[in-house]
Amino acid sequence: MTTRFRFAARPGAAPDPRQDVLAEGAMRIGRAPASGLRLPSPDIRFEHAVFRPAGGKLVLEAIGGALSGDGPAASRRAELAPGDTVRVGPYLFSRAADAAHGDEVVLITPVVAPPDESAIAAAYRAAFDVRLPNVRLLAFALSCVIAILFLALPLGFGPGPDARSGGLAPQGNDRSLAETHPAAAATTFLGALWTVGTMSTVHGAFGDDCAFCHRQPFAHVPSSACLACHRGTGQHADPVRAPGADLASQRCETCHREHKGLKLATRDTEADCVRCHRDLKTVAPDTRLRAVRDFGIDHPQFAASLVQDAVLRTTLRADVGTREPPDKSGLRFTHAKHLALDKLRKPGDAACATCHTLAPGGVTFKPVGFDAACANCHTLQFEPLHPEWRLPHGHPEEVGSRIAGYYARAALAGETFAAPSSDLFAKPGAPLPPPSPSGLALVSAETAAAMMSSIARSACGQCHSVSQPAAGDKPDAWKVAPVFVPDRYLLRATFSHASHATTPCAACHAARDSDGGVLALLPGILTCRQCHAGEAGAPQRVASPCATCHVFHDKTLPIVPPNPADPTVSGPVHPVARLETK
Amino acid sequence: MSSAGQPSASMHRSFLSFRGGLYGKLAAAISTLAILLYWLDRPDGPPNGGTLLGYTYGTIGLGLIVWLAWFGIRRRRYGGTGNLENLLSAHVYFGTALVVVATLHTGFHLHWNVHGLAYVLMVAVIGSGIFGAYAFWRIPKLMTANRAGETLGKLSATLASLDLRCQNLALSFPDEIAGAVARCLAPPQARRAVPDRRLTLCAIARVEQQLGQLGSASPADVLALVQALTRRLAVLDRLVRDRRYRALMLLWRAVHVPVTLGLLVALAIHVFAVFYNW
Repeated sequence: MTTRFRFAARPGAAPDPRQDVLAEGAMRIGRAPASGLRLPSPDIRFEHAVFRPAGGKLVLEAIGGALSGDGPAASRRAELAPGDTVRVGPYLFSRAADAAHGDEVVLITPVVAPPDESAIAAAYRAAFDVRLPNVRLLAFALSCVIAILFLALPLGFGPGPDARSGGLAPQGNDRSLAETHPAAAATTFLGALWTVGTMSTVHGAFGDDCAFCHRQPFAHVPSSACLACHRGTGQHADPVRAPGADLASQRCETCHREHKGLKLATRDTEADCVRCHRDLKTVAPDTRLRAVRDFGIDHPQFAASLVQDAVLRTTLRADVGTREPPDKSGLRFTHAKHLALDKLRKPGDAACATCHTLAPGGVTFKPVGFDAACANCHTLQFEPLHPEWRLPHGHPEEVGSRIAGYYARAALAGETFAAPSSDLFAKPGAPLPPPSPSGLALVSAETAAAMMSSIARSACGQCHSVSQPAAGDKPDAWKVAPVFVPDRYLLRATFSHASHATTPCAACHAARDSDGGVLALLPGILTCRQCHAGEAGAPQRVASPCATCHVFHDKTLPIVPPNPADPTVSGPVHPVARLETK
Repeated sequence: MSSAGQPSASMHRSFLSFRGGLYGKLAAAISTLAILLYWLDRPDGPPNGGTLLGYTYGTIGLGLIVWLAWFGIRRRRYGGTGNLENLLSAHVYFGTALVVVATLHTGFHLHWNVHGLAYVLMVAVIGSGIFGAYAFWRIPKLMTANRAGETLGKLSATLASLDLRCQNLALSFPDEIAGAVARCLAPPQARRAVPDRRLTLCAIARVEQQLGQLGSASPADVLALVQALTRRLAVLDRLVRDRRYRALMLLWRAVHVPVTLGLLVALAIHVFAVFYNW
C-alpha cells in the first residue's frame, strides 16, 4: 500500500503535486535532511515521528516530538482512520476518506502562518524604542508628596503657635509625657522638618517646640519670649542716662542668634562696643567712663574701687599704680612685712597659699579668715603666765568678760600678779605703798591693765583700729573699727584666677614689696598687656576683644519689657518658672 | 566644542560656545565674586543663610532658579524674546553657577529637613542638566558613527531578515543546536524586550562545535549559520548601542523636569518656613 503525502500551502488551498511524497512502507518524519518526510519548521523535532502503515491502518509513532489528536493532550501514537486528522507540530495530517488511484492520501496543512518578516522588523523597531516615563505625572506626584509631607503636615500637626490646642502634642507642658507620647514624637519630627540649622546646646532642650520662642507666625522672636526665662537680664546702661542703649526697645536676637550651631552665636565684636565707647560722652553726656578703642592700643588704666567706709561699704575709684587715695578697709596689714617672716619664706606661690585659697568657681579667693590664716601666729594670748587663755576673735563684746573671768579665777585662787612691795627701802615718813590689791580690786585692776595692753596694742590693736572707752563709759567698752575687705577691686571687669592658674602670683601681684596699698598690689594694664593684645591679636599674645573681660548686661538694672500687655508676652512658661509658682 | 574634523564646524557649533562662551565667562565671574565675598564676610557666628550675605545669596539663588525654570516654558514656545540657543547657553552656565551661589547660601550646613531637601533637589536638577548638556555634546557623534548611515527602521528590518535566515539555516541541525539558535532568536511576542546578546554568542559557540563532529551538518551549513548569527549579533549590538544613546539623551530629562517642579515646591516651602518661624 502506498501512501501519498500531499502539501497544501495553507488551509483550504489546493495541494501542490510537485511536493507530493510517496511512502511504500515505514518512513521517518522530521526536520532532518535525511528524513523521508521532511517538515521544515522549527517546531518540528530533528527526528519527530515514524509513519508506519499496518494493515489498513496508517500509524504515526512519536520519536522525539509529540503528536496530538483533536484534543490538547499529546500522545505517543496515533492511528489515522479514513477521514481522521492528527496534529504533528504546526501541521495537520488529514487522511482522505477515500483512496485515490489505489494510494491512501494524507493531506498536510500548516496551521501556523509562516513568520512575517515585516512583523518581526516592526516588533524589533518597537523593542528598541525608548519610552520616557510620564514626565508630567512624575512631576505632579513629586510636587504633591513634597507639599503634603513638608508643608501640609508641619502646618497642620507640627509644633505651631496653636499646637497646644489643636496639634498632636499632649496638652500642657509635661515634657516627660511629651517625650514618651508617640504623637508628640511625630510632632517633634514634623517640627524638625522646618528647623533651620543646629540649635545651641543651651536651648536645644526645648528646640523641638518651635512655639516656645516663635510666638507668632511671620514675626520675629519677641524679647519677651527670651525674658520669660531670662528674668533679671540687665540693661547695658542706665536707660535714662543713655537712652540709645535702652535694651527694652531692642530685640535680644539682634545680638544673640539661635540656630547657628551648638554654641549660641553672640555678637560681641569690638567694633560694636567702640562705636559708642570711643567717645561715650556724645551718647551719655554725664558718663564717667573714659574713651576706649582697643585693649592693646587705647584703653584707660584699670580703676580699682577702694573702700572709703567699711560700715557703709562705699568705694572710690582710683587708677591702679597711683598712691592716693588710701584704702580704708579698717585693717592694718602689709604683705611685705608678712612675707619677710621666716615662716612665710617659701618658694614660689607656696607663701601665698599659706593664707589664700581659691574660692569655688575660681574667680576670686575665699575671704582670709582669722582662724585659718592668722591664729597660728597671732595667738591672742593676754597673760604670759597662762598662755592657754586666749581672746575670742571676732567677738569684741566677749573680750572684757574673758579677761575679767581669768582674773576672777586667779583672785579666787589667791594668785597675785604684782611684785611684792618692799618696805625696807622706804624713806622714813613717807607713806607706805598701798597694800597689794586683792579680791575685786585685784580683778578690776588687772583686767583694766590687760585690756589696755592687749586690745590697744599686742592683740587687737596690732591689726585693727581700736578706741578706748570714753570717760564715763564702762571700762570694757572698747571699740574695734569694722573691717571690709572686698573680694574684688576691679569691678567693671571679670577676671578668673583659675583661668590664670598657670601664671605665678608674683607675675601680677608685687606682694613682697607691698606696703599695704591696694593700688600698688593690683596689676595694671601693662601687666595684662604682656600676654593680652587687642581684638586683632599679636604675636605671642592672646587676642582679647572687649567681651574677654567686660560683661555687657548690668544685673543691677533689669530690663523691663516695654509693654507687658503685649499678647506675644504670654506664652509657654519655662519649666523652672513653673516649679517656682507651684 | 565642535571638533576640527567636522566639515561644517560653523553649522554645528555647540550651544556651549555660543558667543565665544560669553555666558560661561559671566557665570565664572559671578561664582568667583560670590566665593570672594563669602571669604571676606565676617558674620556673627558661623556663615549661614540668615546673614546679610546669606540672604543676598538666597535671593540671587531663588531668582536664578525661577529664571532657569522659566527656560523650560520658553523652549516650548516659538518666537518670544531672545534666541533659544542664546538662552540655552545661558541656562547651562548660570545653572552651574547656581551650585556655587546656593552652596554658599547654605554656609555648608545641611540637615534632614525641607531646606536640605531643596538643596539636594537643586543639585539633582543641576547634575542631570549637566549630564544632559554633556550628552547633547557627545552622543550625537557616537550615534552617527554607530548607525553608519543606516536608519533605525532599516537596521530593524535587517535584524528581522537575519533572524529568519538563521532560523531556516538551523532547521538542518540537530535539536540541541537548533534549540540554541531558537533561544537566541526570541519568539515574536517577546520581541518588545531587547534581546540578550549572550544567547547569540552561546548559539554561535554551539554551532561552531559541529564543525569537527562526525555525522553532523556539513561544514558549508555550519559556516553559513555561523556567518548569519555573527552578522545578526553585529546588527543587534548596533541597535542596542543606538537604543542606549537615545535613552541617555532622553532619560536625563525624566529627572531634570519632574525634579525641577519638586524643587520649586520645596523652595517655596523653604522660604515660607524660614519666614513663618522668623
